Amino acid sequence: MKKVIALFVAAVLTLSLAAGCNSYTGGDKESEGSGDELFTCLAGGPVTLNPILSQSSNDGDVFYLIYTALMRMYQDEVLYDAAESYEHNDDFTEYTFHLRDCTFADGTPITAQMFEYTVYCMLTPSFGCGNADVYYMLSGAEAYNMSEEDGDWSTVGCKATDDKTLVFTLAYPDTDFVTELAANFLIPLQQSFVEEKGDSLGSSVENTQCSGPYILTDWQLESSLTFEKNDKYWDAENSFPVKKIEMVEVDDANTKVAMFENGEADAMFVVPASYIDHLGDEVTTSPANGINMMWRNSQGTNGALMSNANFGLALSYALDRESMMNSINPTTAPAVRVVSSMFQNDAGVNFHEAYPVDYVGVGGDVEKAKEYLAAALADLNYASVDELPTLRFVTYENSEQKLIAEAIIDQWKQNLGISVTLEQYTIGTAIGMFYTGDFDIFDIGIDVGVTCLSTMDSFTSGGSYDNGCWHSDEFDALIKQAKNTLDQSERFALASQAEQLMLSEAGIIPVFFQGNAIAAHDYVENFVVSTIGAGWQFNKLHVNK
Amino acid sequence: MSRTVSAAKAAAVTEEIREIEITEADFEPVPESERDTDIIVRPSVSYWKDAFRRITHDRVAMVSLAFIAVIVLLAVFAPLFSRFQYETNDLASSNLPPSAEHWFGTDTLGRDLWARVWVGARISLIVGLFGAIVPQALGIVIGGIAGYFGGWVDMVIMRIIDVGVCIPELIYITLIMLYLGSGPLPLILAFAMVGWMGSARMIRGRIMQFKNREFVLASKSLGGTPFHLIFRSIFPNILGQQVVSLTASIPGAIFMEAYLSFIGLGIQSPLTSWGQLSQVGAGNYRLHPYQLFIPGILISLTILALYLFGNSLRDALDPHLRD
Amino acid sequence: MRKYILRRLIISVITVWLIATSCFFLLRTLPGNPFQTTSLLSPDMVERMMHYYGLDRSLWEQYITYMQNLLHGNFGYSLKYAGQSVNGIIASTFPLSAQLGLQAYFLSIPLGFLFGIIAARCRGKAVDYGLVGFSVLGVSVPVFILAAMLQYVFAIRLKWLPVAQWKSFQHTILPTITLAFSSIAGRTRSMRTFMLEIVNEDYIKTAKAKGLSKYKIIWSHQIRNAVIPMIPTMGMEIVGMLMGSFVVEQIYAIPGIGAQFVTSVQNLDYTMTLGLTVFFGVFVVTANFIVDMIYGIVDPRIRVR
Repeated sequence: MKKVIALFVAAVLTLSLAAGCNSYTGGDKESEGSGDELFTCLAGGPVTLNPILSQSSNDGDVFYLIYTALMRMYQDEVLYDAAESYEHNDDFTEYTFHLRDCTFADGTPITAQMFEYTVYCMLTPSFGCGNADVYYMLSGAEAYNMSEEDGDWSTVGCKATDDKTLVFTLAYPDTDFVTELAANFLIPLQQSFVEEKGDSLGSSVENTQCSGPYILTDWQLESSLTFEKNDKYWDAENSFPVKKIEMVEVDDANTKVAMFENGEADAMFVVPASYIDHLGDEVTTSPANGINMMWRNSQGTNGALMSNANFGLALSYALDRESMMNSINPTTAPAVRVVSSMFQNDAGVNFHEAYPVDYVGVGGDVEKAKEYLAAALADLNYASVDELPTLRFVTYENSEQKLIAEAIIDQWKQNLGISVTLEQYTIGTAIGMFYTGDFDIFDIGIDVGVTCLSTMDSFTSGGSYDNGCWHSDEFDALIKQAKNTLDQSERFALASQAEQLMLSEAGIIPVFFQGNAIAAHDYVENFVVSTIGAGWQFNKLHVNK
Repeated sequence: MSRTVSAAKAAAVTEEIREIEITEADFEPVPESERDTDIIVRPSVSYWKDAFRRITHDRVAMVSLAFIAVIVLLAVFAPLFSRFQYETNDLASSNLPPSAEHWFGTDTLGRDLWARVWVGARISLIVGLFGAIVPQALGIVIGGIAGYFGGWVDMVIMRIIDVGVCIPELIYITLIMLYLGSGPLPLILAFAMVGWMGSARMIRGRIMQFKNREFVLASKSLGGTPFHLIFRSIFPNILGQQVVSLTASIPGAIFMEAYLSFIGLGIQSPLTSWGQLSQVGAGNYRLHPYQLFIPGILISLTILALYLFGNSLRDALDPHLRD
Repeated sequence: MRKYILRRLIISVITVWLIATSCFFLLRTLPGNPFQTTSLLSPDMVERMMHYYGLDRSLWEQYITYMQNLLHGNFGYSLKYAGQSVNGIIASTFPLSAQLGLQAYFLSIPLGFLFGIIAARCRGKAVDYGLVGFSVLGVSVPVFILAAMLQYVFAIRLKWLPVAQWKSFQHTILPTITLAFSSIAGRTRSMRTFMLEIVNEDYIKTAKAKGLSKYKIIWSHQIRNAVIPMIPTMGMEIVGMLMGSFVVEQIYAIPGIGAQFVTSVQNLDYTMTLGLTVFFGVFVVTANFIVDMIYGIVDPRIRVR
């Protein structure tokens, strides 16, 4: 009996092993293509291809490939896409775009009314768009969007005067409008298609109407994407040379690197921080469009302490950001500014160099921090540091966030002697606590916006990042003035003043600027990641295999 | 074959009986010396004393116990006497391999891993032990009631278990950690909430197995109360298996904590646990293998020791194996 | 008997309803909302989206609507994956996890039983210690370490098998072994324990005294009685295997349902979590029902009333 069982089991095992080892050789790719095919690993894939309901920049990455836009970004440049020319009036409050002849992948011609329809969908309350505020620069848009019921569309400054002409009227003079439009990636939507698909718009390949350089031919949720070149795209001959793109979502760091190393993947998005040195010169790092920062809760139980500017400055000056980020994630840059280093002023000078601020350096300044602490204690009548309450540091859970938080808390403990406890929750819960004010210090990474002014704008009262933690009339006034100024250099100057104000009052405490680390083998050319706005910018990509 | 005795045979037997003489001498008490019919081979030993004796003579068990004792001692004393504190960062010395300075090396923030491993040991052992005992105890009580009483009591309890098991554990754990923090005690509570259901179901099954057996019936007919029946009659038979279950669920509890770290809900910083250390190490193992292997090997050895000890304990407690 | 089945059926339905209801209300107690899971959204925008999805109606109203849809087998639309129906997501992820789970399960049953029987029969000898050592390894190494090690040795270093994904049969080998490993180890240990317990039971001694052959004793008496205590756990084990493992799926980049169980709660995707919970619940209730029936049939000592 035993022998029978043993034989049977042995047979099963041998069979499976035989089947396994027989035909597989490591490093083989499924299709030996013409050489212009790309296979890459991803960190996060799209969750929906419905541009109205989309919340995540991962979706935006895909939109760049499958949709055509009015204008699009390539790195720092704005490119014409569906629009072939535009002009604006003298005070930058009205922009007119002229469209070229182009069609959807199914042949339907693209008209200006379709772009207007998209803006309509995004701003109309009943469509449930969560990103409507990107178009608040249009006149009447904010009021239209904030009302309870759907209002009158004609009050909004977006009109298609004929099939090929689109006119935007702005609420205030905006010299950066075209950049913002390109970064926000305004695409055409065919009304009949949208209404037919209803809720399932963008939920699968059949429910997506492609118009861009590529057609999405396969999409497995949270798993893989396949694109094929769209020959009907107006610029098909001169851009996006790669004919087929396959992307696979891999969350595990070791797995991703292994796939890249053994040749299964040509390229990789988001190289795990610890492998950057290991992969050597196949890795490209660049700054990304995000900043990680801390808010202090001025409304909570420790409100008095948290609204004290000296205390905030003490916390900020006590941090040696350079060593911290170097150990934890070398792709990031320590941040002692609010505005990203990606931006340049009108003269083409890097913003940080053109407008230095009086603030702590990246290495920290413990002496000064102690001075600020002493001043804070005096302000609030504490005899010594030991009398301070234990503060609650809340953030979302993520292994990198954990290290950062632990490092920050330890530096405060060693340099200032204050005691802080760390609480990490799932991101939805953590953000929920942020908005209900259930924290003392909150740390999160946010998007910086398309221009330095839009960054600052989101921190004004009523801006997208306002939750009552910090408020300054002077700041609001500076930003408002900047928005209404036409003189470029004056705008930048005002923006930098606002930044200085925010830093001096410790409205927020910046920690680091997010960075991108991508990797590609030598035979892949021009594999880049977007800097402003989202998108897999494969405009010039070549795979020479 | 005839079952009846033939009349002749019956008559013969009756005759034999009549011929037996019964005298007064037959009714005198038997003297003491003749009463000791059974020679006692060895002194009678109680169940527990016997179990204790058996296990202390088991070499494997004693070695395992000694190992566990060493781990516990290190967990208690090593961080106290270590040169470095477990939570102090030293960003200049990050990711150093083991050396004379740092016996187990350092992690990404430059924290001494020797101290961290032994602080982690405290958490893992406490959470492992109580995270296994508490749910088992709860499960025994509830499963025992369900298994013994049967009927609608059993039905209701099993349905409650069904409902509880289906709701994603992540919800309970998040809720408990939200309201009670993420120290060792809330973790144990979270495990209790999640774990009692599995053990209750198993106990219920076992009790049902034994409930209808003859010796239980015998106890019942002698007038045993339910309490007596559950704990004195059924229990010793399940005890062996329960001990094995317990020692098997300790690693489960240690891993549950590691798994929670994997999805981001583990023990609160700056405390750490072996599970967390190995989870962090697993992310770095190709570059800094010691960060994974040191906690990994310690976990494995400790669990091995617990397992072997549990095995010997089961053998010692099994009444069938008395020699 | 028929009355019993009918009664169990009704109770099962009620159980599933209870599962859905408790999960529904429990989920709402978690702070935060489904829309702020990737970035900060201003409360106005959140309000907008809540209104679109009908989440700003009274809780009771939402509950009734949900239950009505549930009766038609409609789990609704996911809140995170806009436009995707929960049914659709389950339909595309579940088969992968189920295949992986079944493969692992059917690998672990014969191996686990076999090793357990061998170990019990050769108790005290080298084979026993070897198998015991293996079973301890399986139990003492966490899954993510095991997966990382297997992947490193067989896929990265030796290049015998692919690193990740779920494309061909070869792709399924490493994940299956990883998943089955601890199951085999646990089953070996349990089987060995039960076999040893039984060998000293009176009825085995009787069988020996009666002169039955060694093999007949093992087969007719020992194994059958050893298997019985393992039956209740088998039900839950199968369901657990079918529902995938978050860790294995993440490390091998398999788009299964296991990952969804964790991420849906993290994302506070109410509809997705509820859909998965009810789906899981139906399986659990069914599995328990079947297991209880089998248990009563297999072990004459427990007669189902």
